Amino acid sequence: MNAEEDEFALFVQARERALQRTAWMLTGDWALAEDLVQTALARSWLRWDRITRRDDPEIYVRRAMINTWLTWRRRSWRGEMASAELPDSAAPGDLAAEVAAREVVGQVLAKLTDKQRAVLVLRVVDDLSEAQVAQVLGCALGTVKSTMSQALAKLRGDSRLTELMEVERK
Amino acid sequence: MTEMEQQLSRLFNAVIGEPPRQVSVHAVRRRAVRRRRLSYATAAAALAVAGSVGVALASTTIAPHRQVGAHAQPARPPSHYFETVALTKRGQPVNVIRSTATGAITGSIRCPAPPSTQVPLVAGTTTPAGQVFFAACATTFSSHTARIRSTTIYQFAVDRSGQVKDFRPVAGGTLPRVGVSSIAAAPGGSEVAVIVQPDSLKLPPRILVINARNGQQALWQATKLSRKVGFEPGKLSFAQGGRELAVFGSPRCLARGCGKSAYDVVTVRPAAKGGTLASGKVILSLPTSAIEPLDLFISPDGTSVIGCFIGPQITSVVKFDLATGQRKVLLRLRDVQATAASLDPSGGFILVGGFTSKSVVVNGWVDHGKLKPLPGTGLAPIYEDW
Repeated sequence: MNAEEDEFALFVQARERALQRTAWMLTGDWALAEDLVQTALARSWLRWDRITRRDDPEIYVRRAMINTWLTWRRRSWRGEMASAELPDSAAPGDLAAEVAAREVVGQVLAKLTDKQRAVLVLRVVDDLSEAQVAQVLGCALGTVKSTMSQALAKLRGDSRLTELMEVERK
Repeated sequence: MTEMEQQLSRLFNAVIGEPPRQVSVHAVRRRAVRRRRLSYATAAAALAVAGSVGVALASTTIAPHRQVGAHAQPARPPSHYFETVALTKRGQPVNVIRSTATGAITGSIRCPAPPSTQVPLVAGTTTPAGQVFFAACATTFSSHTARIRSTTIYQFAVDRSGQVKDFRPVAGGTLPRVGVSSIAAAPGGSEVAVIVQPDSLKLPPRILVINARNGQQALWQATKLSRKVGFEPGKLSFAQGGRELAVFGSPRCLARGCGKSAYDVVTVRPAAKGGTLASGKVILSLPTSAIEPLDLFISPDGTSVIGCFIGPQITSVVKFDLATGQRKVLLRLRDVQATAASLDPSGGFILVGGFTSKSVVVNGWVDHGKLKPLPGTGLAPIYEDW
């Protein structure tokens, strides 16, 4: 293995779980998340040398992942399936509560536009700074701030999410 | 972060959980190889230069070699070969039969029953009457979706003059709600084997061996090599007159204490019986490497495995002798990215297509350590077989 390959393998090994978690927040499905991460990494592998010379690999791979996901979203067959609203309170038992919370988060995120969802996930789940989010999405810092603010405004009104956040805080 | 952002962060991180599977470097590289085939072909279409022909490149000869198997080989390669190229500026693929000697197009293939994917997977073999090819054509639900309604396997003959004849569906070859990722033809065209991919990422791929004469199907479960080792099949080829099926793929460790090979070649026999790959024999294990296999084939006599590998700016064709464990580099092309490779039914001639960093198309067959150029259109093949 040459140094470049070694570096790529180390990157995949170190970051694949984090990338899959981000991908799950975007797709809401582990199989699709794995598919999305593999696609983004495959795109990056072909130009890894250039990426490491010019860019932060993490930023590049995340940009590839977001762009791939946005392309998928434009295709009807990748469209999210409509599902019934969940009851207000979660079913008893840890596993059931966990599944219910995941469903609520999925439904709440589905209310956002693709761009709002991407900004929120990168900022909140990946803990990227606003400048880094702008770098990933290839837009201005101001756009990130305004998009984030619109996303939060939409989420603020959701009582199920507020309830879940309260539970998590306790 | 604001307080709400912090609360969301805690909540989201709590609900995401952990991914059920690991994304491996090998899986990523395999996907990159598949992507590369199509992207290069599309790029070649945009840069189409009419009348240009395949270019023989300076290649390093490490082991001058033409004959792959131990038995006597025909002196000449097959008279015709199948090729998919992106002929139009929009990259629309065209499937043609081409003369090996002149490069002339003598026939064309189109998947019937649109909407279909117009890049069928094709595998060829020879019969006393000429060449026989099998083509797997996927039908989608509409022209705007990639979701597969069914895959149908067709059979057609190519006579001595290169004319396509007797194009018809194979009995037992209509496969609802699955795609096909690899196809292989048994010598004489008695059987065709395919790797079927169900219309869900959650369902495992399987291998079907179809008797082309009576439509009888044999199913091979292909997801495990043992209790500890999972498997992802990638490519099929036949040996021993069709009795033996070689499956090339990636093993995956399911428990502690299994090997660390990146790719394995497993053989099962009799191919037409069906069963599980766990009953087969691992005949070759390839360790992790900077180069990635584009295609691997077992020789017709089952004594060697021939692989076409691509790495950064290099393409190599390597023969692995299964009896001695030795490997020989049959061809090495610098500054070439192969997009297609195929072993002829005799096992004596290896077709390699691709192009250079300057978009010069390379297409030919391996002859004593060099690539003997095939006349053509100057378009890099997406796929080819003979």
